[in-house]
Amino acid sequence: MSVENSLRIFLFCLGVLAALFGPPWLPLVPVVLLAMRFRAWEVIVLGLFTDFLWAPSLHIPLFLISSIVIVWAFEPLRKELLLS
Amino acid sequence: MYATALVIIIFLLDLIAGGRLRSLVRLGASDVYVSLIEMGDKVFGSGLFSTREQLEKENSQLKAELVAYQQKDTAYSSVQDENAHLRALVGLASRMPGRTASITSSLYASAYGTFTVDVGIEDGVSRGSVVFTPDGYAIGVISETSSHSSLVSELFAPDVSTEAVVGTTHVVLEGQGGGNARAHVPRESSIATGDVVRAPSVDAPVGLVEHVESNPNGADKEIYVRVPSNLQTLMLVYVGRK
Repeated sequence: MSVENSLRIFLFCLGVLAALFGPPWLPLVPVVLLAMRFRAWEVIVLGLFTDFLWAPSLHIPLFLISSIVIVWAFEPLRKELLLS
Repeated sequence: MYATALVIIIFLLDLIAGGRLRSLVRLGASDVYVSLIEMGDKVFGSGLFSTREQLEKENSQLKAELVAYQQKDTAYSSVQDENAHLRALVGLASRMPGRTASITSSLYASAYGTFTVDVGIEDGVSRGSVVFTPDGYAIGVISETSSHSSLVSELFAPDVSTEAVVGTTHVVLEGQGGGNARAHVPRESSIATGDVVRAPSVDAPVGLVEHVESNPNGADKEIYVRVPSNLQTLMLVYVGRK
């Protein structure tokens, strides 16, 4: 397995643990790191996971919306400026 | 693009299914949470992470003995805590019908002011049931149920308003998270530290006035309310029947 894939899996697992144990802002750290470096679908899965975990059904899914925004907002930025 | 579409479809399917998918996720996550907490207790309770200097001073026999005693002590403290909680809950159970439940998630990880408990529809819990600390203070209301787990929305979650009464003064508590809330009251009201705050919506006390802050130039004063139990160490709650 390549280093990049290992890093992606590590950050995803970190995000899952952060959603389970950490304060609400903590999952955003691996989310932003993933989105900065990769075109990471895991970010959206993390957003969905966090909302499924904590949000009542009829509540606005803040993490899902944020993760989609972060993935798509970072897309042009990543292409132009960032690490990939 | 496909991943985004797929995730949105999953989200919509869950909405259509009345939250069944998220119930499954919560059930799995609760198991993981409880397992990891137990594992952490065992690892850290065993003395494995004591400082290196301490460990170097001990000979192997003493180390083994110490670890054994620490394990016993941790187990004893844990049982003692649980016993104290259960004793308090017995008192609560004699006053109102309901069910004791274990908290199966972190109380501080949710941005929505929610946590999960291990009782559900099949245990007689329904949406709207009030959740109490062992001391009898209401801390939340069941907002979603599945067969054997439920999601609790905290009364003092951030940005949640709760109508309450302190003595004869009606107040609107604004949740701050972590079992804390605050409210503005008229300056002439005679609210003092230690007064019990009751919420008519749950027909129970929800906290005590922790601090009263009055501004001599203002028309009102601010009160800070807190659930007297330490939410960080709370393991068991009592879910009243509706």
